Amino acid sequence: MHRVLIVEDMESSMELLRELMERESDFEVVSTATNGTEAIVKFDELEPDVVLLDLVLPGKDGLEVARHIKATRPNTKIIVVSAVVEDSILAEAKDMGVDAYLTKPFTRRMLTDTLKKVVA
Amino acid sequence: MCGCAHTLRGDTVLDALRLNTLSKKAAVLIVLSLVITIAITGVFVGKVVEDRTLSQLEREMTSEAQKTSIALSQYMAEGDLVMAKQVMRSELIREDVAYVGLLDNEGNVLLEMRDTDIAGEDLIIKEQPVVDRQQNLGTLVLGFSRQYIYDVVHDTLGTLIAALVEMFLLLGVLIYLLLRREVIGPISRMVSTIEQISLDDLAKRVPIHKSDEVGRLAAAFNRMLEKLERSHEQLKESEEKYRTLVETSVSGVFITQDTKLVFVNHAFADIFGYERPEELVGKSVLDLIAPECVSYVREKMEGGFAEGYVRFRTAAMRQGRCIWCEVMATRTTYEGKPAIVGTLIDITERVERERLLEEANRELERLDRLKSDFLVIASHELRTPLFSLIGNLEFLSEQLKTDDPRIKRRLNMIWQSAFGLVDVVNAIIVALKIEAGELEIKKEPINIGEVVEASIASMEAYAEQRSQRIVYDTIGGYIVEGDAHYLTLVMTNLLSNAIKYTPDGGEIAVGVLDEGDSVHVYVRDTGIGIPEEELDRIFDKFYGVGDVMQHHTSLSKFKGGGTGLGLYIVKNIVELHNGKIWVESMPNVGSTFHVVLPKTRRVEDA
Repeated sequence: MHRVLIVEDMESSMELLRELMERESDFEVVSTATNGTEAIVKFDELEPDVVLLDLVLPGKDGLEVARHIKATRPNTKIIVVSAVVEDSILAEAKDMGVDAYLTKPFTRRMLTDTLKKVVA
Repeated sequence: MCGCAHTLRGDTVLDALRLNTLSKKAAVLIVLSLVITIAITGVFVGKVVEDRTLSQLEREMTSEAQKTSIALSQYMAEGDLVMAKQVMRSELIREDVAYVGLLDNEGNVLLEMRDTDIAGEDLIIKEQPVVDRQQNLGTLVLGFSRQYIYDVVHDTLGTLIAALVEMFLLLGVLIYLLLRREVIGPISRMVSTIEQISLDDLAKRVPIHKSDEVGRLAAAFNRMLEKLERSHEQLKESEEKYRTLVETSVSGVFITQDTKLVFVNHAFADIFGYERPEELVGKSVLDLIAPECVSYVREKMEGGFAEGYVRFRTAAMRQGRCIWCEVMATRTTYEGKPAIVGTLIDITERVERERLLEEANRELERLDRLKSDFLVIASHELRTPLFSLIGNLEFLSEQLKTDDPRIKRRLNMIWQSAFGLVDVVNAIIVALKIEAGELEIKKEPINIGEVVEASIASMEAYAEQRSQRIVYDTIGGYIVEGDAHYLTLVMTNLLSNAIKYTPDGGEIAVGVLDEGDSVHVYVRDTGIGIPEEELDRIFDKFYGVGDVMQHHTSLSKFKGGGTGLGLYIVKNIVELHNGKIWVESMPNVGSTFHVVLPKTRRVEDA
């Protein structure tokens, strides 16, 4: 069972992600966060295996959270879930070592495939 | 040197004695020659004449003695002493005789007579025996005055020399005159003519009288004068031409010496707001330069003129107002002294325009960035709600668990619309990236056959909707180096277009062919086709079917649907993969899109 932390600021998106993850049998959502600072706190506290990370967040943004994650527990799998497609940002995320990038909007199938790939 | 200067200033007497003309030289030369000739000739001839005269006189004296002796012998034989004395006296009377003496056979003086004023040693003695019928009666002694003899000789010589001198003098004068007429005269005339020639009077010519060297010199000199006259004319013409050029030039022309303006043309005066060029002559050119540029200009004008000239821009002052000027200058000489000559134009307008252009450019850049930023933000903002839309739609269709075709159909339509929206947003982003040159193609080995098959699969639903069939002619598995995502995009785009522009019931054919070191993919439809004149425009950004129409209204750009970015994106992606794309089409028959991609290696078909 993989423990998952979802970081997303928009309520509707958050709800959707939750529901999507519920359908994934191998994954358990242990917590959620709606801003960067909360994300870091929850991450340190709960030590999840997988983090679904939005980039555009109030307070600390997704990249900062990613940096923190990779600095403290680098084995954590980060899947960036974002509408942003700017190459410079993507490149930065890649450099930081995120494991996958899902561009919104995506289908359920795409999520499942990505999850499978990441934990494999 | 010093002495020379002194005489130049000095005495006319000394001047007269200096050999500064050919005549004087000729005269001196002739006189010298004469003197030498006369001297030599005189000495030589004199000697000869002297000897001959002396011999002649010798002979005369001897014969005189003989004659007298004969006369005496007769009287002496008769014992007539009186007559003998007479004879002797008549001899003494002669100028050349100064002593007459008669001696007996023993040498005693019988008779003697002498001139009063002579001494014994001044006599030339001639003795002649007095003989009568072979009987010596005595000896006659005649004493000739040596002085007299010499006088005679000297007279002769004198006459001779006088004659010589006269002759040679005459000759000398003749030669001198001849020389003057033939040589010195013409030369002298030539010289005075030449001296009269000045740049103001080049029309004069030297008179030619003879065909000898002097004549030739005169002729050559005249020819030279011709050339000089002509060249002087040309020079004046040229000067006139350049003067006119400078005066009528619209560029300001200036000459400065030690930063002072020594010449300006009308245009220059005009540029600085002066009525007449004269007003500026004498002013320092630095007064016309804006104060903050003075040191810059000074540096430039005093600098090395590296390439022979200097060119620069500077701010200048026109009657208190600031203007911009462009200056080009080079070194020259003016009236013998170093100067700087140059041209100057007023570029205030140009500078202003450049500034405006720069500003406009900056504004354009700003707007461009703004546009890109806007589009990026817009797509981002569109994606977020789309995520919710699609996600919830998926759940909804699941949760409904219905077989009702109406519900199913409605859900499907929503689904299509949502993905249509996603496609638009994605197309905008990709097009933006292409435009900015930021589209990154992953370089991985891709099985193009698989990509094509997957695209076909994804399009089958759409085709079915339109009652169309997609057939594959041949799908080989070839490996190309590229990006699966973008190659898929290419294929789905082409298929989507094919389906869209083919009427219901039509057929789409797809094939993947081997072409040695490249792969050839084609998509053929039986659609409305593309007119020939449009063929090279279809890959342009924003090209749409609306463009085919004759009349463009404000709504034309919306007709035909779609962003018009599809083929633009497809072409760029293909080219970023080092491939080629082109189309063949016949209106109302169909179109075939061809894509060729370089291969890495072929995967053997299973």
